[in-house]
Amino acid sequence: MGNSGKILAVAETSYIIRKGLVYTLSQSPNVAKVIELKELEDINYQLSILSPDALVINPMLLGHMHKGDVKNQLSLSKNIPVIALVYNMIDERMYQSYDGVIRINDSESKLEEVLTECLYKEKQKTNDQEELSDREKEILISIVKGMSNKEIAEYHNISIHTVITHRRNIGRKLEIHSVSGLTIYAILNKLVDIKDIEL
Amino acid sequence: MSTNVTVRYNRGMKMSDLIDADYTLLLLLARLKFSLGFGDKSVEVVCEQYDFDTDCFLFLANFQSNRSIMDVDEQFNQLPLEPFIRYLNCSHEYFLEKRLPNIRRKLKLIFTENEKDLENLVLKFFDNYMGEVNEHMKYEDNTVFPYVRRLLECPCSDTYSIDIFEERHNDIEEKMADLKRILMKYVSGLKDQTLMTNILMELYQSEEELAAHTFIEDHLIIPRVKNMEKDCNKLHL
Repeated sequence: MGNSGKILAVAETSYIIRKGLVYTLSQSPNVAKVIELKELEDINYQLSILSPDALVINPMLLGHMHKGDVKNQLSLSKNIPVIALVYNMIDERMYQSYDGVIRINDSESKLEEVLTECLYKEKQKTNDQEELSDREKEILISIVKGMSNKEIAEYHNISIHTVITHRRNIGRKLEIHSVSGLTIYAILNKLVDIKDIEL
Repeated sequence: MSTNVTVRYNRGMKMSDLIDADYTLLLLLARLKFSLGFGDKSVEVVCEQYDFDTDCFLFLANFQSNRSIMDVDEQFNQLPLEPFIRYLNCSHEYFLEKRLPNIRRKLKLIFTENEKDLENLVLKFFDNYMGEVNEHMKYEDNTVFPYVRRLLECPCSDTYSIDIFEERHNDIEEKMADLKRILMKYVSGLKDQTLMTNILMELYQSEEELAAHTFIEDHLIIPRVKNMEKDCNKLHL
């Protein structure tokens, strides 16, 4: 289980469709948890508590007010994607402001595609380049040598906040998070010599 | 896991059918120290044989295979706590005495002559990790679980609080995941690819087992114990 798993909320009144969708979505490698919203009266309240990473909702549930932004209607933050679940013959304008559309006859791979696109819209750009930058390599060497965030900040003349950002990016790119794991990576990739490191 | 079939487990079904429905449940049996060779006995009969609450067993089995379609909290709240403490105790023993030593034994066999340095590095990493897991689990076995048992038997006579545990409960899956990635990405596996595949699958599985284990502790046991503590405080006021 990667720590990048997302939390999805599904709002749909039909039992069979909701359960089916919840199950299908939960099988996706990107998804950590799927929450069902059965009652739609206090949907805004529920969303504010659950704070999901994305919402899948049948546009019919919000009535026929197809003008305006779905996010205003739901008081969701702008960066939370809202995906329309469409299985009725409805006007396209009802879901034009949604970030993605899942149709009842979509295949498994299509579903996965829509999910990935919506969940990782912003990250996609940076994701292409998974190599560590030279700066990140320098920071990595300091981490492996056992320096604290504060020491790294002073040594490289950057703020602690920047150190933390670098650490996060290193972890994301390498998918290795513990210092001892990073140490093995650094030795294998000849960034440090095994003799300089205390294991 | 047979992802195309969903079977809800019940007490009357044969234990062998349960395993057929999802063979990863063999791991659940191992963690609970249920031996194999159960013939055509039902789930209920096998559980009784080991004096383990059948409903709790079914919960654990469904939790492992059908988590996405069950209401975990609602079902857990109707079950007694003691069997889960016993389950966690047993699982600890299984991780410390079986699972991790078995991985270590295999790790020693996958490196070529040229990969000696790497071998030492990886084994050292693994030994440190085993030390951490050991400390983590022993603390639960020796301090946390006895406290919960005392609380179940005779409420309200204690000074320990589950908050202490919640605060210091650290993540033990992270390093398992790191090891998995390092082996997968940077070790050739030239010496014995079959064994290498086997180790990687075992690491993936262990990581899942540990994650489920942690979930039970953090999201089911701790909240339940907190409620028990709350009731105590009310009595005392």
